[in-house]
Amino acid sequence: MADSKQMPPAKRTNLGAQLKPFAEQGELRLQQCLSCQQFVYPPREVCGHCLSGELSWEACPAEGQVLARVDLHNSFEPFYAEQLPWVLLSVKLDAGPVVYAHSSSHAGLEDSGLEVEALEIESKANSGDRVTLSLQLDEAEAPVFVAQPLK
Amino acid sequence: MSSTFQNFQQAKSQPSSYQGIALVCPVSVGYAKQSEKGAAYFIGRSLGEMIQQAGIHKDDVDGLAISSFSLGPDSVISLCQHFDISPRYLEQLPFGGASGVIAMRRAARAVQMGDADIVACIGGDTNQAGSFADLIADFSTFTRDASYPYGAGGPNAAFALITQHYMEQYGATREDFGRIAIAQRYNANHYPTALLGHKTLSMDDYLNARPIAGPVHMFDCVMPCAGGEGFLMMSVERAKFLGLPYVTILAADELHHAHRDDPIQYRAGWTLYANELYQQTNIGPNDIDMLQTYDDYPVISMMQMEDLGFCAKGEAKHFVRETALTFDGHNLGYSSGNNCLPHNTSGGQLSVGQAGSAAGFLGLVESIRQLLGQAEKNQVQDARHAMVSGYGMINYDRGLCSSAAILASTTSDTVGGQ
Ligand SMILES: [Zn+2]
Repeated sequence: MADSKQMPPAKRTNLGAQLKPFAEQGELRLQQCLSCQQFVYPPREVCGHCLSGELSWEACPAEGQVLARVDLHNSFEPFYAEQLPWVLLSVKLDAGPVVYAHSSSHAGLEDSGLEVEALEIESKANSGDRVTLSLQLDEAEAPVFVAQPLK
Repeated sequence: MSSTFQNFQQAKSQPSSYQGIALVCPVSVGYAKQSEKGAAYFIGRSLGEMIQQAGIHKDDVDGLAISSFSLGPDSVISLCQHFDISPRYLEQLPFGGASGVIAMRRAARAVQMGDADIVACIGGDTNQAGSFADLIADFSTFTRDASYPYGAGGPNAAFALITQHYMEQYGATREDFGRIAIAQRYNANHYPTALLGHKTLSMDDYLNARPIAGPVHMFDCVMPCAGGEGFLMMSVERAKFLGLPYVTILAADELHHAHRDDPIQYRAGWTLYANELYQQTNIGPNDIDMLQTYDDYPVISMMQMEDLGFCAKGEAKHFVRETALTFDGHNLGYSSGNNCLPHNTSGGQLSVGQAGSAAGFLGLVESIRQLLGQAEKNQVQDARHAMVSGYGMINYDRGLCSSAAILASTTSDTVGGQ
């Protein structure tokens, strides 16, 4: 089984792939505009606030609020299809952007080796809950966001 | 919004009249769950059927406005050689569920300005094995980085989040969404082209359906399919000369990525121009005889009912509980009161199938057919005004496009009816 283990989709744009080294370090970074200081996401070529082309990956405040949480019962991707239901969270960061994130309760992310204790938390965030966001590598060694409920 | 042009912006100009424009020859072509044929087949056969209905030659069509997800690597210019035509006006509209009304607006201006005399407006797509999965895996740069890697492939997950939030915010229930889906299935039972029209749908069927994502279950989702939808646009004079019955455009507008500061979508651009549509036509929501919404999940139809003024924001749950949504006013036991608003009279995408970009033409083509009195078993009686709205392009967490139009039958005596 291990040989045929499915992986989550690893494909990213050139910009999206730039998150990988930060995910390796477990550092939450997002693109920040050097002109207007706003954080932007998803990754982009110019600032969505002022159209400056000077965006830099900077440490971003990690707290936010869950806008909505759903359990996926269906996925076109075999990795997820094998592990349904899979929790998907939409998180509004205090820093501005809206980020889709995995729930910290997913065991699949333990393999990343990061914050294993946190990942064992049973509770899954619900809408309105305060969460803290982290950037990690998933099983395909690709960068993903993970949301964990605040105590 | 601070801008040097602030005062000027406050006097935002409005679309000028669509007077003198005729919509003729609505066609719905080739619906199939899957097809080995390419998109050009569905576009080409739509064109073929339209010119046959119109009694004209393909060379009489001097404009082409096309929407298709699956036409690549070809484009609208490739189709000229494929179909051996020499148009002087070409437009390609990659706007998914809003593309029909947008194509109509563009083509109307071309005809009014003399850039073309007869424009074929067509949405057509194929559905080959795996093609839907390929489309959603690489829909946009934002989806590739920010939604697809999370298992949120395709629109289901984004709409599940939107639906979940809407239900928590406004108290709409799955039964309310079911009322929309069930009425549409009833309509489809009277429209032979609908791919699911041979099956009935009960509330039990609806509620017990397979879960897909959060509150979204099987019968909230459209079935991808192949097909073509289209109509011809020309001047009223030309339609009369050709002896073609026609429908007119009373008002139409579009607005994209509106309310962009809303953290999660619960409304779209319609809120910012619906009133103007009614003002321009001197009619109100009560004068609309049928509503065709873009129904790629019932929650989006509810947003359109609200944002287009049929009820207040958050009140669509009451609206669907109190209004029969079937073409013939039958309440199916799911609504109380005497209110009736025929909605998605062919069954909508939920019951006809979602033929890619053709789905963005579905409600428009159906409205033309209805207002011409050319619908068959699902004909709405005495229909004079139709509201058609479009919505589409889930670039990440929300649909970006919005469009809407009010169409009139030419027996209408309201302002702008000619
Ligand atoms: Zn900026």
